[in-house]
Amino acid sequence: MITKKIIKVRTPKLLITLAKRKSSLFGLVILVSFFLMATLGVEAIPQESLKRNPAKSLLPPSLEHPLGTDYAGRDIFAQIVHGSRSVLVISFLGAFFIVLISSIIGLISGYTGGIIDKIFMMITDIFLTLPGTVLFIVLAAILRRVDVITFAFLLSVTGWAGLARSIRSQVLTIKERAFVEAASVLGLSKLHIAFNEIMPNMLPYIGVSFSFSVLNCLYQTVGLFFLGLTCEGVGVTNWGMMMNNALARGVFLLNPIGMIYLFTPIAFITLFILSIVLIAGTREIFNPSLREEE
Amino acid sequence: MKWIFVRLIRSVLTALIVISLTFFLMRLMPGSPVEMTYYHYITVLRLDPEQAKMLVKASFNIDLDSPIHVQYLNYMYNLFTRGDLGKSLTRGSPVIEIISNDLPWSVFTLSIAIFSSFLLGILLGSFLAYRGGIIDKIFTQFFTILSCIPSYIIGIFLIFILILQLRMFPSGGRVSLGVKPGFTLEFIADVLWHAALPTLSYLLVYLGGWVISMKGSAISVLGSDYVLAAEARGLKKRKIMQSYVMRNAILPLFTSLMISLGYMFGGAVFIENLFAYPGIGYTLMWALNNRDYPLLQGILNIIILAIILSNLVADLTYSMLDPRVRRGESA
Repeated sequence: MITKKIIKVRTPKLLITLAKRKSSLFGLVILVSFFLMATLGVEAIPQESLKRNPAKSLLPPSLEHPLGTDYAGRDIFAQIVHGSRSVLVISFLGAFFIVLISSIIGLISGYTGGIIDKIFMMITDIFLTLPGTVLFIVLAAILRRVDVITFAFLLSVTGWAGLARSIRSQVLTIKERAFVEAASVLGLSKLHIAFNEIMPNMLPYIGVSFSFSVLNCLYQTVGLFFLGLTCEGVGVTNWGMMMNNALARGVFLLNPIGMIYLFTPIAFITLFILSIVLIAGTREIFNPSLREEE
Repeated sequence: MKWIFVRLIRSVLTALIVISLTFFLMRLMPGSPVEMTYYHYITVLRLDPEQAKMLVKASFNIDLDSPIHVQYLNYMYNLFTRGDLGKSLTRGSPVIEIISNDLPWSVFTLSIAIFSSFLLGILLGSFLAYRGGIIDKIFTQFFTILSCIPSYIIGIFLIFILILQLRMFPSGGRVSLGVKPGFTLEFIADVLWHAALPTLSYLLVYLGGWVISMKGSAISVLGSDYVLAAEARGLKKRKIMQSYVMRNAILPLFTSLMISLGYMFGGAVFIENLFAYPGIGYTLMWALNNRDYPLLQGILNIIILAIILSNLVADLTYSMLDPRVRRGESA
């Protein structure tokens, strides 16, 4: 129908708008380099540089070790690169699951109403009372041997409820608008109206929610490892573990080079947050009606 | 009144369901903590199965011989009639005792931080909305980024600057050794001194969010008709801000304040472990690392109850503040 046409035009325009804004372009560049790091970077830097080597402990930055080495002689930059993959995959996959679950629940609940709505919202309310971060940490720690996908799924189990509720209330307002009424007068199926008429109008909101879910997942994942918990399925090297090691060893107290080890993961996390905020902060990316005004 | 009654019943039901969820989580999960503890007793401590079962029964309030629904009913019965959450595996004392010992310290630091960040956030947020212009732009950007920075990173920076560089604050604990508890100036000062950094980090963590939402709320109020009318009457901008805008803009934030009081313990896990401040979050990690599952389950239940309670209080107080809510459903 009409909305389908809009979606087709939207995809290239999304990139154009993104490129027009300097700040969001900047954010996009950072994000793309993070992805390159997690894909090509991991392949390019050999596993050997992650091995302990007491002879090379606490070297200052050099050509061979761009960010120096930690107390055990492991290359810091190599740890950042190898640690980026699990963090990125978990954050984005987790956010994807969160958005997927909450859109489906929110959409069905808001659009169909009645008893289904009541049941869905009851379940949502129960999940809302679960302490997300705490429960995630507990589950991940008890299950120990989880792979990346289960990990992301755990994040979404504890994080979807709030978004589902707000998507539902958005649907409730969109439902009242004229074009939805027109579609139901035309005799289109409920499923069609929900996903083809209402859903596209939710995209701006869902887009912004997705990016903040990414941050939230990153926050919890890195935090889990920062607390010193490990998950065998996810790999030993990651940013949270680096901060945990750096603080626990306290090498930076004695040797200023040790500070690099503590502050590098922090710098990369901050950079990642910045890129997401810059991209998501410009609302018009996801919202064509705002874009026209420019 | 009927509305309040229904809301109360719903909270109790939610509490029952969620506590049952944690029970079955602990009991039925792959590599269930109960079984793990049982086998730990047999293989590591070399107890015979009967003895191991007795110990499991004592610590989890679970009798492994009886069917699961009987175990469940027993557990719930003990919990609600005697407040019995079982016995800690590692510390030997009842879980409820450990929690009531740790919880006040977390509540102390967190509530100070949340209330003061709320006040600061309201002032700053309405100031930014009132002021506008370049200052507004810069500070809004700053607070947006601040609200996105994970709490542990804020904590690391505070540790780095205030403890390590300036050596201003202690590096852990609730009170210094040798300071006697009591209503002495020395004790109170020492407690505050130890609580300062955790509190400051919570404050920074929450501040950004309050500022941003207060600013948004104030701006939406600024656009309403009665503000326009007040302007037309020639009231001073400052007066309008104080008595028309701020009061109305705080209303939606008030619910968030109540709710965040419930969720506050979630943030405590990172900060308390970072600052080695023994509160509920610190004990939670301790229980996890030492596989002290009855303690873990007890803490989880307490945290969840706090959330349910705060949601209830938020709903009830909001309806007192804004009568319009009372009629509608809680959606």
